[in-house]
Amino acid sequence: MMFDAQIGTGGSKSRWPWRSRPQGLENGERALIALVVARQAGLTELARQYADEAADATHDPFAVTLLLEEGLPSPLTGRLGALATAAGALAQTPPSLGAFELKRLNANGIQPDELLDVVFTVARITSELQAKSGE
Amino acid sequence: MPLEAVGLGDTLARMCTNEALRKAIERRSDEIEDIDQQERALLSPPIPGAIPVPHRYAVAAFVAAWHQEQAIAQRYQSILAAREDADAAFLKAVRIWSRSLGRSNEPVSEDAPDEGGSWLGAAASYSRALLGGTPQIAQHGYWLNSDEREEIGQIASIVILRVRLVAGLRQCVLAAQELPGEFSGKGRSHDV
Repeated sequence: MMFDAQIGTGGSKSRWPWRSRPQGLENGERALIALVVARQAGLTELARQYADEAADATHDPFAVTLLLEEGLPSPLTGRLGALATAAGALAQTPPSLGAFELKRLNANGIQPDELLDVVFTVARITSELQAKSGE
Repeated sequence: MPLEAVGLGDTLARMCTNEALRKAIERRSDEIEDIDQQERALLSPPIPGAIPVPHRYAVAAFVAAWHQEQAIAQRYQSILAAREDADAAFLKAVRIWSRSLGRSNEPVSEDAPDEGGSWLGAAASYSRALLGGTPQIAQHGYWLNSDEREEIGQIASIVILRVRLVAGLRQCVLAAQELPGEFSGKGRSHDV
């Protein structure tokens, strides 16, 4: 399924109570991680909503659209590519993040607080998606 | 120290051989304590809703076991064992159902004891369906009413949060051990 590439125009308000966390990633990066987790769970409509937030906040709608349409493995490079790949690994059951993903994060300047934020964001989104699945 | 009092922060900090990650966990202590409080509120509410407290811990053990997180499943079972309102037959049934859910390719055990088992069996089946994303999820919970299914979903959600944090951090720590000095928070390599 192809997604509409016209994303990033919503200016949506936060739905995440942990958004104001002082340490860690930017909100757009958290939204990108949420997009990866939702897409991996097959929740394409929710992935699109996260993509809207990510595109607005990262100011990189091309990267977000690419991730939304193509998923993982992704040709995305740099910081966003490293974060998306790590999020995809952590979202698997069981999580599979290894030395390659960690080295890539480190090479792109991800700090320990940010790495922990990737773990927390994946855990939060996975937990919320699970709660919704029984409704 | 009673098991209930061992917080998520302690668990995460004990796992961390990486000093930079351990300090990052300390900086997040408020959020971690909040997760502990949410868990206590769901598993030991002062006024239980549709599901009694021992059965709540049983469901928590099922969810952790399904994720192959035996230490977390054992934690819930140990808390349960310390309670006066869970007898030996109930504990045995929880152990058997948990073991069954921990074997992902096996159907839910048919030979689980009946003591308290009909509700536990239904809860175990429903938990498996919920976690496995079975499309016709409702039919797995036909023993359970809608309030019970909703509360099982809430319990599953908070346990999944704990499981994912522990499992995710464990992967980070293991990966960091393969890259000594690589993730100290002091610098970056340039060969990736």
